[in-house]
Amino acid sequence: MNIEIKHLARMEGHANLVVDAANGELKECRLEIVESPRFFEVMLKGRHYSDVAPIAARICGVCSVSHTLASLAATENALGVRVSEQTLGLRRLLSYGENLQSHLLHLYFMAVPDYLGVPSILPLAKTRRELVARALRLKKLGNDLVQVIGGRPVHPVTPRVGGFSVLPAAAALKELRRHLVTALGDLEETVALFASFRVPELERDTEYLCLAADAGYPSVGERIISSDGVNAPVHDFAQVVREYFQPHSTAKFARASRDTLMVGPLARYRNAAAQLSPMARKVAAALSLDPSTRNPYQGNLARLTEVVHFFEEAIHLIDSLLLKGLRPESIWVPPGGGAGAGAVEAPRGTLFHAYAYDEQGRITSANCIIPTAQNLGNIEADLRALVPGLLHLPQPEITARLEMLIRAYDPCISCSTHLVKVEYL
Amino acid sequence: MTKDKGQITIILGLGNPLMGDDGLGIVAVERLAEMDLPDGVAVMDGGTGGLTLLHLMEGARRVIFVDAVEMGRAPGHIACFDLGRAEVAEQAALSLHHSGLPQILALARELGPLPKVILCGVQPAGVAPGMGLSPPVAAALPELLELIRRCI
Repeated sequence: MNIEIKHLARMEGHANLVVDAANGELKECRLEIVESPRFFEVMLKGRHYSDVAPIAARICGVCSVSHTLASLAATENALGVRVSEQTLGLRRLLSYGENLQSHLLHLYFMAVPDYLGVPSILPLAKTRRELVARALRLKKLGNDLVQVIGGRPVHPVTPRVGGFSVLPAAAALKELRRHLVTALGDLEETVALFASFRVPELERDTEYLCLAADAGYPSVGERIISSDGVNAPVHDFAQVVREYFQPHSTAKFARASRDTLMVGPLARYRNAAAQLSPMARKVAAALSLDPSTRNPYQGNLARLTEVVHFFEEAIHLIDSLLLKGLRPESIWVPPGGGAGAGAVEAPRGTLFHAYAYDEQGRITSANCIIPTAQNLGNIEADLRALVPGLLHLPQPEITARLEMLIRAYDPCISCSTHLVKVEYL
Repeated sequence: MTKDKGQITIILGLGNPLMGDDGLGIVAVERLAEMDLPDGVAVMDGGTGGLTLLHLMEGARRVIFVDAVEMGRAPGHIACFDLGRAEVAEQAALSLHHSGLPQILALARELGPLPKVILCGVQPAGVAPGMGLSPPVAAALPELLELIRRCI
């Protein structure tokens, strides 16, 4: 079986799978589906700290908020800048907005067509108009959140080293809150829809890694934890998450305590289910999701559970920000250089940025590890575990199951895995 | 960025400024934002926002996308397309190498009346990691901006 992907959302890559049906194994598995932004370091060298986050925001249009927040945290840790509770609250809110944008896009535009057996969302716009309209209504709320806090719906402009250049107006936050509350009906219908889907089976043990739930469910944070007992400051991330190359692939892989590692919604859910909002916990139960799950296909259920959590938490967070009242803050950046790392829970998992600055506040080195790179080895291992149990199925069904498995991780290019050519040995 | 429903022209710059000439749309809308534009015209940086573009287009009577377009012409070549015509949209699907714009327009078309959609593009010299426009594309910028202003 050969999977070829021509054009990805602003990124080139492809995945090659060769299935040896006679011997029941996956002969070749090359997921060259994502390029870690290796050019990033070169591009940043010599840049002033104030220019770095806006450049990071351009790495990806889907995760521009996460790149911004991880970048700012890395710079602040490097330069010894402290941020206020107000800033952390607004950053969380911004991150919820992006996670909602991305999760809802994935659930409705990538996962739903799989489960309903259509090639894309397009035919559903004719046959299930109410479903598509609901998807867009919900996604728009994510956009609105990012717009109100970040200044625009993609590539945010208000976050800066130490805080925000512009604070959202109280009236805008109140209006946002009113809109978020109206989403509850749409969320219920979304949960009912996903509860009606039969999720394929696969059991495989791996290491689940995310930021620690020190201040609620993992979002922005300073500590890394894993199901294998990792408990380390973000500053030491390079010793925890080690990147490596595979001879068969040009992509960078990553591992932590064992050969494979999972980051993203399912990892966060496994490690921090108890920190979910009350409504999200009920939704997890309604979806028959359990924190002991080892089924990667359930990534979508964890994603939907998180959607409900982010909606509920965003409402509470807005209430708390409004109650305290937003105040302009003076931002102080101590002179001199330094080195530091920052991390955020991006939609697809833990995103790390790390920089070193010289005495003039100019970058001397930069590094970035994206979630999909950390998941690559896990996706390959899952595919290998999956193939032997699928061989009794017709080939189109095998292909569909393999694609769905890849998509359950929502890799950066998941939209393109619909463009698949298949060959069997 | 106030939108007067149905009364407005939205100019949407697309692309990634970290990928050389792919940043053309972003540079163009930055310049346009500094200019005096008629009432009812909004300028936005759509970046690589993918499906978010669908929401940015909401309420517009006319949308002008600005992007690097692979046309097989000399770098810096400027052209405008009316994407409301399906066959042109298909053609654009081949040349817009990675924006997802054709799919977004297809979905928008299914969901309701599509505003008038124009694509103003410049043939890139190179789309590869790096910041800044190539000399031929940078040189084409003033003419492109003038063309867009005449379109409004």
